Amino acid sequence: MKKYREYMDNVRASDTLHQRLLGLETSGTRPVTWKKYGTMAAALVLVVGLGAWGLGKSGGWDALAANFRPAATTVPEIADEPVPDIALVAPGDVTEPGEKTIGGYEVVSGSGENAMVSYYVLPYIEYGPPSDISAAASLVPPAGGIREATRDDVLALVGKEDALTAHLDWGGRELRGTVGFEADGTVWMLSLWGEGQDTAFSLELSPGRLPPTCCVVIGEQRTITNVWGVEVSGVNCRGAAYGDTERGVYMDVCREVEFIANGVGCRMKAYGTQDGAVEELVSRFVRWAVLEGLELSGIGPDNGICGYPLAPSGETGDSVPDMSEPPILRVLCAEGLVDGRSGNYHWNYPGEDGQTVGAIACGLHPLDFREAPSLTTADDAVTLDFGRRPDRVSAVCWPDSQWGNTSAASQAAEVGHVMGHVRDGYALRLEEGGWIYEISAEWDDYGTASYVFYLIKN
Amino acid sequence: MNHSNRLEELVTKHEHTLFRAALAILGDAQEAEDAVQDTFLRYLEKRPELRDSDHEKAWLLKVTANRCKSILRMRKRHPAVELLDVYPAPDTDCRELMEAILALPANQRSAVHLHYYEGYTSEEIGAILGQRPGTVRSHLSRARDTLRRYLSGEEGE
Repeated sequence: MKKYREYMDNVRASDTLHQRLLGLETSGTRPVTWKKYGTMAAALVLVVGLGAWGLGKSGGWDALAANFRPAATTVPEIADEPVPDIALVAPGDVTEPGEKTIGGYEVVSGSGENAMVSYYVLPYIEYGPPSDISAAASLVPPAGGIREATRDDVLALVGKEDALTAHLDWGGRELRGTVGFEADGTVWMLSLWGEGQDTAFSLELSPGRLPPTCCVVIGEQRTITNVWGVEVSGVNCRGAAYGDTERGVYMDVCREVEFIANGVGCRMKAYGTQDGAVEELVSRFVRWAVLEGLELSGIGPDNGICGYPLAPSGETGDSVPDMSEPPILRVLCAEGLVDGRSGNYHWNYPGEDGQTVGAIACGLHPLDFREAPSLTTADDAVTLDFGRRPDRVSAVCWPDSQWGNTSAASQAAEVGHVMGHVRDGYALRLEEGGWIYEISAEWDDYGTASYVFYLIKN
Repeated sequence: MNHSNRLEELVTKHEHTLFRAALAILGDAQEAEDAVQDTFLRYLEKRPELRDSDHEKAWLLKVTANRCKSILRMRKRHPAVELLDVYPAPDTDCRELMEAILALPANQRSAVHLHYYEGYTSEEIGAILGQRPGTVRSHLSRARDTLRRYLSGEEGE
């Protein structure tokens, strides 16, 4: 490294910098830095003001979201304001000796002579080497209820509005989510999904324990980092890409953390295209959860909703499927997806003249349907995406040793409601080995349809 | 000694060291100057009790490294200027080496500079960067692997 040393020996601080440094004490100013961050803060406020909050098309979220935008966006006129005195630059969190961070962020509050810049450090979290991890599907307890998450839920969770915008970097994101309740009305799990321009995240929170997700992990390598006294388990998730290339939102960097802080179990998975941006998003959340705390007790089930098993039927996805025939059922797991059409249905739909049109189709017995769509997975459960959510779903199954034996008795398979970001809201729990599944869905407005899949769990 | 004289003494003694470290981490002269300025501002704000010259140098380097990390996080809005355009290398070999070092991840660049230029041990670097010594050794090891062609030709120098 002799050449490196020689090169660096010739690098010296300029006279200009020298004079700037000597002038610090007398002027007590940080003109360049202040203007730079002040402009950024102004941009942040503007972005927040423009940020859209969409939590689905029903449930009154849009109206609430409108109120959620800052009532007034005060953008300080940096150029015309006096530069704040250094004495007003308040420190935020202090990095303890030996504590590892990934840097931090500054939050500007106030304006003009009362402007304050606070610096907050972001904890470093060890994620270890890339590790395979499956998609997760969480099933609501049978006696519980579920509803869409609202703006008030999110505010109750984080405590104050500026936590979302200045600290968590959730301000410019489209947020949606669900909250599930125990039979007694306490929160069972809050699930949020936030999609931004460069990053996205899914978040699951449960009181007192890690969120109960049936998550199958292959070759997972979790690494524990102590963050301000809380053990944070991190995973560098290989292959857990978010989005799809068709929509142009494919993100192949993924980090996941699990921890319990201040009585709330947290699981966050963040996605992006750059390691640094994804890890910063996670660290911001971890910092807030550990140092400031999250509050689930302020989230209630709403009168009359608790115990109602499902959210109302309706369009929950990006597009409305053609309902003149049973929609295609898409089965998703970590390894991929497979589509299936119903071959056995009893269907009614409104015709062009307003008259109801009926259709009945009888397909093969599932055990004779050897060409059924098939999928092999290591997941405990697969997601069932109908495009338009049915009002009821049930399933039965047969072991693949019974192919062709149409008199073989079926056994019930477990279908549950899915918490989280999946559009459709159902999951099928898989048995070990190869099984033929018949999934029956019922829409109050249209009728019933059944679908057959051959799914192998190994 | 009053505060002004103390600041002047610190600036005169450490400005080049801090600027080099910031430059090594950031690869951008303007950002490096900002980091150094912020470091002395933090010093004025904290006015920490520093035992001796070694302690003050390590404290200032630690603050500089932290400021550099913050700048790196925000870099997507502030693309770096090529260091070698501002400080040209004297010859092709040196330029290639510097390009290779600048292409290293920031953690490795920091460790390389503090070890090979400032002469700190991995334990000392760990204290400055807020990392475990083993992590520092890992950064150095990976950096050496990347720079093996240059280092192998300089062993014994």
